[in-house]
Amino acid sequence: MSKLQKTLNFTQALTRLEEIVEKLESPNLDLEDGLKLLEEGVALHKLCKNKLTAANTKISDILKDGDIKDGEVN
Amino acid sequence: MKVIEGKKIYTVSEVNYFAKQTLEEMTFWVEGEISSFKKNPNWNFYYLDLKDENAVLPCIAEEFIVGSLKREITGQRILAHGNLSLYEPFGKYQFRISKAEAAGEGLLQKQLDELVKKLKNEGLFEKQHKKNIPKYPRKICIVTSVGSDAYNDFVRHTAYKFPIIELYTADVRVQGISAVPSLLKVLPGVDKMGFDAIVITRGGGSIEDLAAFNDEQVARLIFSLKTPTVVAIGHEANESLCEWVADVRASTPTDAANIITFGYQSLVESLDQLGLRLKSNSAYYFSANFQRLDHIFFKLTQTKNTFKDLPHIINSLKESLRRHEKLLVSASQTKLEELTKLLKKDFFLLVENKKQILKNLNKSLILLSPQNTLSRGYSITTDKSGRIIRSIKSVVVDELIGVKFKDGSLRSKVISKQ
Repeated sequence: MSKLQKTLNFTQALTRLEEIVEKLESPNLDLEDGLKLLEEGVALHKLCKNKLTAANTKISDILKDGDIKDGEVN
Repeated sequence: MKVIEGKKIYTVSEVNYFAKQTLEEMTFWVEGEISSFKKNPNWNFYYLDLKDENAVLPCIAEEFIVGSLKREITGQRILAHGNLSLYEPFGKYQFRISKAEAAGEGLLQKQLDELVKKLKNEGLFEKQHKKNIPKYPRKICIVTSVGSDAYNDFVRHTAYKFPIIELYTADVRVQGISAVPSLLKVLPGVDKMGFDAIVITRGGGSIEDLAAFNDEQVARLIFSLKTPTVVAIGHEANESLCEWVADVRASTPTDAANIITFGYQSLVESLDQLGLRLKSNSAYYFSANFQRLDHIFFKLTQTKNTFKDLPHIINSLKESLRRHEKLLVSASQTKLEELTKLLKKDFFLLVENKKQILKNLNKSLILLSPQNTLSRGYSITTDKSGRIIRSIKSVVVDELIGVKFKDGSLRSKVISKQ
């Protein structure tokens, strides 16, 4: 994974990913370019999925811990 | 009256008449609670009973007297002025009310009503004087009798539920003769202690029990407090002067607690709401994005489809290349053969041509040969070494020279040259 990819946030990565998919769907795609794009796309997909899974787990934990007891403020 | 055997015997009517005369001389005030009440169906007057703990006094009253009483006739305590009388036909005695006014609670209520009116006229109940209770009060002082139900209710619904509230207590007497002095002493001090709100409360009771909270001095003191004050005296039905002057009136101690904690309660509610929204929104966010990613992954795997025709294209290119190659080779061969043919033909012509040229040359050569020349009458002169002499300059006088003819040669000596 390139350094650039690591600095992308989730939305940026997702936008780039969709851009890649669009390019991959272009009929005039060059094989080498396509391979490069595919490589980047798969890496980005993994990055996005990991980020999303991590966030989902974290949020579930937070929501579980943060359950507010009936009418109590501390 | 008749006298029989020395006995004075009265008729019933006489007895009742005398009794009536005697009774009617007795005019006085009586205090009692109206226990029953009804109108005479034929005349414009009313029957009512006054009672105390042990006895009942039947009374009659005219309409104007009844009209001066509170609407709820039964149960109210009145002071009645009038005289006793007797209804002769039944021998039933009764109290004829000539004047009536509120007594006991009724009296207190009347005094209270007057006081309320007075303070109201002074503007003590005006909205402009009401201070707001802070939305999130932290430091609260409850002014009540510690350990009472009112106290317990209030604590249960404030500090227990919302420990963020620091609850202080000012223990006061809430009824009896020491209640007013106790309140007057404690409240000014409490007011200076920087509380976010003061709550003055006690449970329900009779109007006498609540007297301290209907005291003018206490009410004026509460009005003058700088700290926002909630007053909750008694039950829902009880109303007291202090409640009128308070910044906020609460019906019960629990109600007062709810007023104090309202901000926190709303906060908890909206936090709960936000929590729920957070849960559902994040669930939506994640499921949407997971789906999106899955879809993208699917599309990524489809990339091979983009290139699926490549082998085919390459094959057909190869095929066409092969075809072209064949064509190209056979065409070249044909061309080469043609060229070879042409070449052969040309070469043959060339040779023929050269042969002719050679023949012609040979003819010329024969024509020009020395033999031929000699035969035409010419001779060739050579020097002593046999080299042909082409110029006079090569001839030296006295030297021998050779001369060749068509049919022989001779040697001679050069005598002179010119």
